[in-house]
Amino acid sequence: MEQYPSLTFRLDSQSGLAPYRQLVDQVRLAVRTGLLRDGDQLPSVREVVTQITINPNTVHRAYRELEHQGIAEGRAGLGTFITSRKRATLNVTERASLEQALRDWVIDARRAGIDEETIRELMRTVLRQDGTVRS
Amino acid sequence: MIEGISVLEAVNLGKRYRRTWGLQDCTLTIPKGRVAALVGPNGSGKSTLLRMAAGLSQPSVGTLRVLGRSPSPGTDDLRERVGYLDQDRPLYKGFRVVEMLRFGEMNNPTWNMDVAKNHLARLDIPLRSRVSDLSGGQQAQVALTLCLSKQPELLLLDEPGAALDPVAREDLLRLLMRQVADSESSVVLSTHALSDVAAICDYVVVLAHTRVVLSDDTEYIVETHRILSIVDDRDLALPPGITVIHEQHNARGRSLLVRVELPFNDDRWRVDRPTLEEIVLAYLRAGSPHGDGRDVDETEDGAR
Amino acid sequence: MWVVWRQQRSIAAAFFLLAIVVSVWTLIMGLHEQTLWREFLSAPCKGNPGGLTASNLKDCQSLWSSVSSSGKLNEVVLGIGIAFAPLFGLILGVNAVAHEIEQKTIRLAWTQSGSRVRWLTNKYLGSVVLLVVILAPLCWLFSWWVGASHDAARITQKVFAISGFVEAACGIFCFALAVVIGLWIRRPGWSLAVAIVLFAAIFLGFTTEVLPNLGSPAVAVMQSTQLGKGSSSGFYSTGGAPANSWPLWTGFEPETEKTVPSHSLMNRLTTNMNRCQASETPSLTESFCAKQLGVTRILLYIPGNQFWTLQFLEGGFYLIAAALLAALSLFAVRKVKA
Repeated sequence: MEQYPSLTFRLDSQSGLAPYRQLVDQVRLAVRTGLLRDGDQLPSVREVVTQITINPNTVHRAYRELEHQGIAEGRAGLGTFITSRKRATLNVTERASLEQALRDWVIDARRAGIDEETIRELMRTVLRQDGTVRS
Repeated sequence: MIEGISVLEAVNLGKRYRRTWGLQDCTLTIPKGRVAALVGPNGSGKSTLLRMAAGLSQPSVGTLRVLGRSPSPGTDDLRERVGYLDQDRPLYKGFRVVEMLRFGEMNNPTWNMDVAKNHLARLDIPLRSRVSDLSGGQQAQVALTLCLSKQPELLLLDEPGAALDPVAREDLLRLLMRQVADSESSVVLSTHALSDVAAICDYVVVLAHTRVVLSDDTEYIVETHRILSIVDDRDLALPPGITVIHEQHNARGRSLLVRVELPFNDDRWRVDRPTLEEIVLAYLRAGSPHGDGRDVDETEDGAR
Repeated sequence: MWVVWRQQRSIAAAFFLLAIVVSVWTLIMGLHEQTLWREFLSAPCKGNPGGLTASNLKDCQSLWSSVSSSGKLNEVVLGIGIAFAPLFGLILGVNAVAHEIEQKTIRLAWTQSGSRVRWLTNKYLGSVVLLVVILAPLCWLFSWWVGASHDAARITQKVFAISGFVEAACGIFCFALAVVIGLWIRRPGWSLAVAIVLFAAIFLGFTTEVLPNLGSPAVAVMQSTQLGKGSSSGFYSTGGAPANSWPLWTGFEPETEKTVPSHSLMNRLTTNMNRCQASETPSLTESFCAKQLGVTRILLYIPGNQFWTLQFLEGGFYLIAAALLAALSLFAVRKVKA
């Protein structure tokens, strides 16, 4: 019986991010927010493919990337597990300050008269462009 | 880009029907281990290519290799390793589902009856029902199960999601992905709607008017294409190393979907990342004689 | 093979039921006529309505009328007997190939692991077994019926096809024909129509043109008193031909000859006889002209003991033709596009 606690992957076809990146990001977020802890097992490739419609190669790729980043490790015959090897946790203070910055931004945006839909659109565009800047 | 062994390799492949060509100048290589989508409107040559790969019809021109062999009616061992699902998903209407499985078992030495029965049990398709009593989606599942249960190295699927309601289509694609996860088969499927299968494809071949206009890994495609847009400055020249695939004009300026060969740094252009669908649509529009906006460049196919 | 039987199952079942119905009816009819003929043949007139005397006139006439009225249904049995095997073979053949092509299931069948040649071979083997299993008893039954109903001697052209095993050979030939035509026309309805027309032409052509020339005819000299008396069906010796033979045609031959005359000689002598008989008024009797020209009237017939030779010749023709068509189809199947 798998024991991964309530981690359900979701793919956003509009995000412009490659699917494997989305999975990686979702795992990283889950680890940062404490949803996944050290030693928790990630869903097997087969289980993910049953949950969502996704290419198994994509899942393999995501898990390999997570191993590369030191967030998870594969144990032969058993699966992929969250590891404590090199991890940047979001501690309470960092998280609170980021949340506050975001809240301030949203207040500014509302004052400027921008509705929620436009805010989401802006988020998407910035995330897309984020890739260009990095490369 | 060729990594390891390819499952499908075509060189100048063409198929002629009486007075028209069903496919022409097709050169592409699909590597092993991919889920590849052949995308294009009806009549663009997808079914023609798949039928030739399955050995059902012969090329008029050029060569075709599937798993390294030529798929003629003479190569029997190739058919053991390749599963084909036709657009019409033919089944023997008078048979019961269990009799269709028996058909598969008698005709395929590599048949795995447990795999077949498990697939159908998971979908709640009763073995004793007659094929003609099943819904369209269930018939498609049975037909796909017939392909999957002989555990082929390569699956050739012609429009597997067509004419299915979204739920049935999702079920079918998940069934397929489970098989790929379990057995590492390669898949080549055709579709006229990329959005149906975008979630599962990691290799894309775009066909327009019986010609290949793009073929590559989805990741590479997405990494190497951008949307450049500019407002009001219509005569701004493009940076070098940029190939325009399709251009659109509107009241506020130009928007170009381009392929990037050299890194560039030009702040006057606004750069966005297109989705895979936007890229494919641009290639399809560019390949069509009634393209939107200006058809600037001749598109090149993705062969390297 | 299981697949072939499963696919041909409904057609075979339908024809099997039809065969049962036909058999029962043929059996009843045959037994009925057999009884009537036995009475007729053992009557004082010995089955010959021409051999009447005043005393047995009434009995013989009534026996003869009951025999001939029951014989009216013979044509129906004959028609069924001739049509059953070819239709069975043709429909099986059309279902085996043309139907699969039209339904596109050919794309399913030809992408399984076996070869097309093996696929088609299995179709042949499975279907031929079905044909033989259902047709063999029917052939035996129809042969019996020919003997019981006295419709004609078994070697005569009329009933030769349903005696012996020729019909079974026709059925197998028709299967191969329908397969080849199906590969070409690719639609079951049209394939069946074309195949029916082709087979009808071949069958009629063979029966009327080829068959009479396959046997070696013998000569029987006829007495002029035998002319016009009784039937020359050949079951019993009346009208000149021995029993159970197939009378071909009558004519004339020089008195001195005993061998089979050539066609040209017979035509010449018939013309001469006609001229002779028409030349004088009142017209002279045949015996007078015959004496004058030195000829006798003869009857050419195929003796009954050639029955099995002819069966093997006609049956062999259909079976060899079937084998050739099968070879053609096995070669062509690799070129056909799905």
